[in-house]
Amino acid sequence: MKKIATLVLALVLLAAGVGLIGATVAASRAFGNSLIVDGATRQAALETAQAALPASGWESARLTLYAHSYLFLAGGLILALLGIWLYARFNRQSAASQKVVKALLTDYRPILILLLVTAVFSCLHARFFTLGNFTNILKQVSHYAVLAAGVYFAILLGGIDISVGSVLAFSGAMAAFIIQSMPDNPWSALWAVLAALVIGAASGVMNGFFIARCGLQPMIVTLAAMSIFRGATLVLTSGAAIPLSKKLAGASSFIAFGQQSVLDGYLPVPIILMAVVYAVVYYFLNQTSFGRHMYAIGGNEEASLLSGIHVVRTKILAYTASGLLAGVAGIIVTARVASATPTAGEGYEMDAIAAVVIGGTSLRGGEGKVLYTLIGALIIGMLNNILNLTNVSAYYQTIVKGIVILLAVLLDARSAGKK
Amino acid sequence: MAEAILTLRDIQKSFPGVHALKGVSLNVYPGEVMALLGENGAGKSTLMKVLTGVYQRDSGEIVFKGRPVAYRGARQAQEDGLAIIHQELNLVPKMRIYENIFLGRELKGKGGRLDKRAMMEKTRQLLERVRMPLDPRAQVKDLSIAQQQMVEIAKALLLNAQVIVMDEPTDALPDEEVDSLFAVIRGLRSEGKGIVYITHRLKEVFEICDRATVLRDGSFIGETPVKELTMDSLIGMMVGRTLDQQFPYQAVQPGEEVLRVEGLSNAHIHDVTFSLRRGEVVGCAGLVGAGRTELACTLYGLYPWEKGQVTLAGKPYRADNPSHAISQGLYYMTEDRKRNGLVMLMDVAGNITLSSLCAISRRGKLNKGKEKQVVRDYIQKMNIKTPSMTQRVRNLSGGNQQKIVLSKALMTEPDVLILDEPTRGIDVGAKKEIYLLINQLKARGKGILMISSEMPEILGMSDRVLVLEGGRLKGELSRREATQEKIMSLIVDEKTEGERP
Repeated sequence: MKKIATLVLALVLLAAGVGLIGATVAASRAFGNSLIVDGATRQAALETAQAALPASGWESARLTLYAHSYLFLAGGLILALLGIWLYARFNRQSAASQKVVKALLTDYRPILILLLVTAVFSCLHARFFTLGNFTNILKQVSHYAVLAAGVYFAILLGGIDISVGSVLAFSGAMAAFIIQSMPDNPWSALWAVLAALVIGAASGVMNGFFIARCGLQPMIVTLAAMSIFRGATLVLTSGAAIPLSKKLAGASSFIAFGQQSVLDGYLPVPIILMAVVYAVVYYFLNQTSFGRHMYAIGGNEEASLLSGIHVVRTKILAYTASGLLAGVAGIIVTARVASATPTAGEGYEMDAIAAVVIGGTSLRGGEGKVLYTLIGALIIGMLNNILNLTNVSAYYQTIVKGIVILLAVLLDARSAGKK
Repeated sequence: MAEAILTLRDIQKSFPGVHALKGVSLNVYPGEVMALLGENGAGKSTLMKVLTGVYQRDSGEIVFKGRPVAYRGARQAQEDGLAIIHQELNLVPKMRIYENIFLGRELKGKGGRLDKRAMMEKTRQLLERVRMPLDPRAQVKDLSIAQQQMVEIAKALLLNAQVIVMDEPTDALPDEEVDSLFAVIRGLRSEGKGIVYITHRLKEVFEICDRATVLRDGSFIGETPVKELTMDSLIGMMVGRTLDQQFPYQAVQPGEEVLRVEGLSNAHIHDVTFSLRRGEVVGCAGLVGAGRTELACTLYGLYPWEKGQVTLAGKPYRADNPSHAISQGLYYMTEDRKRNGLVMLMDVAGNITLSSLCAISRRGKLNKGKEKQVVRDYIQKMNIKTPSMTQRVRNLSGGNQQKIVLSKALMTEPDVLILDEPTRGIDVGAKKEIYLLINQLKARGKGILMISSEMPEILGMSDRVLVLEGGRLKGELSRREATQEKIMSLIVDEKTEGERP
């Protein structure tokens, strides 16, 4: 009896959730708008709905749905998920439903968390669920999502790379320095980009050499590199910012990497760079033997060596990739603020590591999906965004981020313990 | 006969894919030394882990000092008077002797201050009881293995252990120190302690033990007073089966010589010379530490060569690293598949193709369709039981894991395959499947060097047997002349010869 009641409740919840989402989408369509509207349109729709309330019930209901679309979408999603969860609980004996729940909670957990976070945050502030805000989040996230993709290589090997923040600063500073010292040469932007990439890659080769060839601890080697490159940045900038004023010939084309948008200003270049980076990294990790070797070494270095894999070479390549991507992030950051500061990227390595961890990658190495690292970066970005929108002090934001990281690691440890 | 102080009755224990203990019993009597014997993998260590509760038994009972017990770990067993002295000693090297002995149960004086004087005094007394008058303040790392063993025994005495289990205590000891260990064991016996003595050196059983319990393949074979035993009857109990049933040996007309090793020397092996022909299985026998694995690792390019020449399939061969060795047609399957044979986190397909990714990729890009096809082929050919090729290998049984390692090796199409303990830790049924696969490889003209610590396996599957000891080749026996006694005598003779000045 109780079982049937639970089942009915679960199905009702699921139906209600899906129905709510469907109705909201339909209502939005009816008003000739896409689902995601900006805050002003939404506000206007809400006022119209309130004015029309006594006139026609049907019309006003549709307007209300439209005006509060973010709320109803989020609610619908939560109801639907609740329904699925209840159904799975009820159907505990069924292997198939167990499998679905297990997959949701382990393999697809980052996606699930992203959906839930989106739903909850949409309820917290009206401006959250808008196209403009999402573009904004992606733009804010782009540089450390790129950093995180690099750190992902190191963590996949069971290592770590905490030098990326400093490498970012130094490659950015070198780029700005080159543009500044060639004020009349419009090609200086190209040289600046190349220099940033070469510095990034070289720092990675250095890290990789000491870690793989000399067998030193990744934490210590990259800690040293972190200090060295921060110092190099201070030397290069003499402790002051290097501004990229428009008078410099290469400045405007370089700044485009951080500030330009394409598609009528809807798609900022940093987002494109981030997407390209993730596409390339995904390709290398999943479609090439280099990627397979990475997973193998992270899972069992000794077995990989004995299986004929060039362990040292692969590890150096992995750290090189990490450094190279730090160089890319250095270009984005410097271009965005049109200036290279000596303290750029300080603490970014922690955000990058946090993104990897929240993305469900095991710090023990050998397991993980790079696209989930992107999701991890997005979750952190959304968190920062909602805290800004709701006017929470920046001081508290750091505390909240810490707590989220702790929760992510706790989940990882718990699922590892269950296996 | 005195009443047993410790009784394990009808213990059953299964692991996924392996029935490790099938109704095993063991009695320990006060004032007697009980030998616990069996081949590698017979279940001795598992039984001891069940005793101390490191593993939970599936069924059966354990009675100690007249009451049933179920410990939840070695420490609890120790507190109750049941001490185990492992092969790997359980001491903190950088601490002093008395600190080790009183670790976790320090004597305290007023206000929680450590009472060092009392602890040192007590330690001195305990060390005298084991005839090892050492300074209690000496650091454990400065002691010899034998001295460290005595510290362990002293620790057991501090807790007033009634039963002391010694797991292959003489393995790491030089001969002259074995005698002093035996003297201490006799002393403990006369104090009325019950002792379990685990060993694979049968000679010692007749020297120090009063009774012997024999296990084989996880089954209880018998408990017999040592007086009624001879070396032959003991070996009979341990080996038990006739070799023909267990080992489906197939004679193949050997082909041309595929591997020739001449005077190979380095830090681990000395002047090793042998040859291997196509369609031949050459067994490599010797005690643990005889240099067999080191020989394989040297050929595989893991250790640098100092001297010697190797020819593989007619071409001069030299390996700087495993990848180099594999590309020339030699593959080494390690003795410990969990530690360095497989990537446990990866799936079946990923592991099978790991050594030959270049065969299924073009300019670094994997051809996943081809990979699937190859893997499906191997799963079928090797009869690997797995729900799918995307199953993680850690969820499979030992036998299936071993078949995956073998598939990985074969996919590189080697001319010479070195198998190191190919059937360690897998079920009897799975063992036989591996042997049948070895026969197939013989028929396909592979040269196989099989390292094994299981004498019956060596005798049952090899066409020829190489005997190693101390990194040197001590002799070569044909299938017809090879017996357990001849192999042992080659090992032992050379040992005594080596001790002569």
